[in-house]
Amino acid sequence: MDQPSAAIEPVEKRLFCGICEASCGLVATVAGDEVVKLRPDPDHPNSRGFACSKGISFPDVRRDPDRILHPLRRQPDGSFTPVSWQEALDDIGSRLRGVIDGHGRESFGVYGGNPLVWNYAAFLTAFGMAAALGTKHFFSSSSTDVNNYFAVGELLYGHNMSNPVPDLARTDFFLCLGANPVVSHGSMMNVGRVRETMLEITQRDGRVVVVDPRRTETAELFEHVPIYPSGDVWLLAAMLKVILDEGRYDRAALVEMTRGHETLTALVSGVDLERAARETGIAIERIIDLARDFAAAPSAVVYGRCGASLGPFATLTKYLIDVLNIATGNLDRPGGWCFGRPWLPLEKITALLKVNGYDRWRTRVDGIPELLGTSPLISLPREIRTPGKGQLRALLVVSGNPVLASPASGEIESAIQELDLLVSIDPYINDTSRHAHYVLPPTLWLERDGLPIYTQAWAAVPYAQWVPATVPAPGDVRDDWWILDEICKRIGIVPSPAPGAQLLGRLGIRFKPPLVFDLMLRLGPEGDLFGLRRGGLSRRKLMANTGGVKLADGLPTGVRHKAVHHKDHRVHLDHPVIASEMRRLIAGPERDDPEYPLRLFSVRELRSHNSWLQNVPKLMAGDRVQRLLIHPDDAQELGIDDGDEVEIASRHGRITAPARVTDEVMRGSVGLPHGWGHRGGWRRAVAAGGSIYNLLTTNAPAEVDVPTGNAVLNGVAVRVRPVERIQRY
Amino acid sequence: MSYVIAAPCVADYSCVEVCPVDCISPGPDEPGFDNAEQLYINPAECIGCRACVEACPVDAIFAIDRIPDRYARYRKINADYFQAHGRR
Repeated sequence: MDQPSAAIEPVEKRLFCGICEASCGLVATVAGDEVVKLRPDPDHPNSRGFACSKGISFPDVRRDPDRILHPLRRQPDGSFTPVSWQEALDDIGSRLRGVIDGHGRESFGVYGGNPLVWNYAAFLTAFGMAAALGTKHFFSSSSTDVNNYFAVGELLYGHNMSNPVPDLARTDFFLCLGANPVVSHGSMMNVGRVRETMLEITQRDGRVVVVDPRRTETAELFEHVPIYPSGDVWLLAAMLKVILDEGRYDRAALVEMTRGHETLTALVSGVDLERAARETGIAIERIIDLARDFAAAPSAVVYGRCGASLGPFATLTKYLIDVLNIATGNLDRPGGWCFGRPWLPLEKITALLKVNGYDRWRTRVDGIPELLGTSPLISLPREIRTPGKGQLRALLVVSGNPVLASPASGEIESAIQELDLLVSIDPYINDTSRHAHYVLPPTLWLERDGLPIYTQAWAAVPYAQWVPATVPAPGDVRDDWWILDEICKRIGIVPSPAPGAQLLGRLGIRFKPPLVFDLMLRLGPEGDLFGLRRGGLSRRKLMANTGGVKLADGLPTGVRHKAVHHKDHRVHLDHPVIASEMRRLIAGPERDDPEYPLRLFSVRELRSHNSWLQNVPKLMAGDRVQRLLIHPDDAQELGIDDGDEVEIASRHGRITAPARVTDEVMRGSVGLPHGWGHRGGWRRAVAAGGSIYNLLTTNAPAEVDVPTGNAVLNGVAVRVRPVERIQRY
Repeated sequence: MSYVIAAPCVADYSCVEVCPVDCISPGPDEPGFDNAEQLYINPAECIGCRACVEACPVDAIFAIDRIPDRYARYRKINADYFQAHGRR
């Protein structure tokens, strides 16, 4: 680690970025054990020479002085003392055995944060661990913003992970809802050079329409339709109604590809266009025009991401997105809504192991339907605090920070302190891990082998990539999967859902994740079948070309029969839960809360990733602060000047932030970046200040997305006022 | 795709500070920093991450494919600076 880099001849290694879904190809300049430079890989099949400041700056996370390099045990006074792995793991094991002996395996839970999905080995092990425990207490950060996708994937296509993506390279009309790909670089789609790819749509005389409460970095490049936060569901329902009522749908496609399409007209029959206009802030004529233009385009695709997934009707919203694409004949065809080209048959294998599913059981306290074997985060505090069989008493947090990231985060923070045991696997003492009995330090993506497990099935330019560790790990850190497996060993389980795995484990046989994935790869659609398929892929072959292997020029089409998991290979459109959500939408009151008249939405920032990376000097340069974006007319009415400190209050909490008065946000709505207000041992992140967005949000089951328990972080009713006025009265 | 610094630039240091690949010149340890009237982006080094656009207090930075006509000549002005001064 401490070798002077000048003394060593630097070498270049190709890899991919393990921070976000874009998974951009990178070239690392390595001297000794240090990454001295990271740059975009111009030859990467999908990202083609793009990368952002987060990935480029990641070597600073590796060498962050606040990074934990040894296992830590919390002392009674709240400070942490380094301990050996043996000591930490043995004590965790013995305390867990105590919990399990007294209260059963279901009293032990696992929480997986977002970085798990760039960590295939830990992902596999964490899922296997929850399955082997048979615990319902398997929580994931997905339940804040993407559970609606996993529910609709299961309902429509027969698998949670089934995720058609927009074919931006060929479409004539891209309708983009609640997404800012220029800043996020894409989520639940993986389009390299996404900004340029979208610009090319307009260059070939197509249209890109961006629907967002804010004139985002994406919206300013294209047609922008402002919409109230969480109004998306009304826009989509109204568009579908127009298309069905005016006969602008593709009947042949519906008949050929779906089951239950005849129920669609009844589903949207109660949607009132005038109300849709009020709920969205978009004029009726504009909604009708959008619907007609969308249906008339030679190819068209609607896509929605966080903004469309953070409201109280997230599942219905995602359902309507898919149905609009399907009803206009755009499923599985060029320029439309396309299934990807997986090289790891994860959907097939998890289906065989019955890992996927929806509503096979309900959560203990709130009665929320299970999804992929997980429970939603909103239930976590009540699962800890409600006595009875199955009460959660011990929790393992893997690369997560629910104290900042979860709705009603104040409640999570106090509840986790009541656990008999809290263990956190994290490189930092963060807002959550500071309360843990043990914090165990993992390797980071430059220090372990990796493959893009989450996005491999839907890259716009399909490619396969598997890279070895770029540099050795510092200190006494260990791979997450190894840590999980060592804990499993101490409580006598094998982290696997596979039948026979526990028996093999008793014989001392445990399969390591790289071997499991190599088997999947070699037996999968692109695999070498152990020599039977010439030119097929294997781990060894991919490791020999770490820059990635291109599999095709673009997304496949005409693959519905292979991609849809239902036995009839049709998309199933008729679901009681969807009909019931539509009734709930229509029966619900119109939003009008004089006490909390503004609607809050979250803003993604270019140099942040969810709740971490605020300890990196380069990413915090320029005195970054969290600001509330407010429209000039609203600001004037409230007596707020640019830069004023304001209080933002909801029915659930109140926080403060300086205001930025800007007409980039729609009147009546206010935007606030999330992931601020840190505490813990990451000093720069703490010094950056800011407030916790999630102190304003709720975890009440009736107020979130009912079918999945997915959080409501957008459209939160708030009032805003200058801080000084509050002090004066 | 790179970014270009155009006429509104006031040689504020904000962009230099946030650039993850140090492709904006002149920086504080380069000749000409003290008297610089504008800063320049090296098109060969820029990765197109956009961090500087956000940091710029005077909206002087444009994507090379979206530069307003009145500033079009700044494409060449930025590139020429590095021709004249060599790469950092």
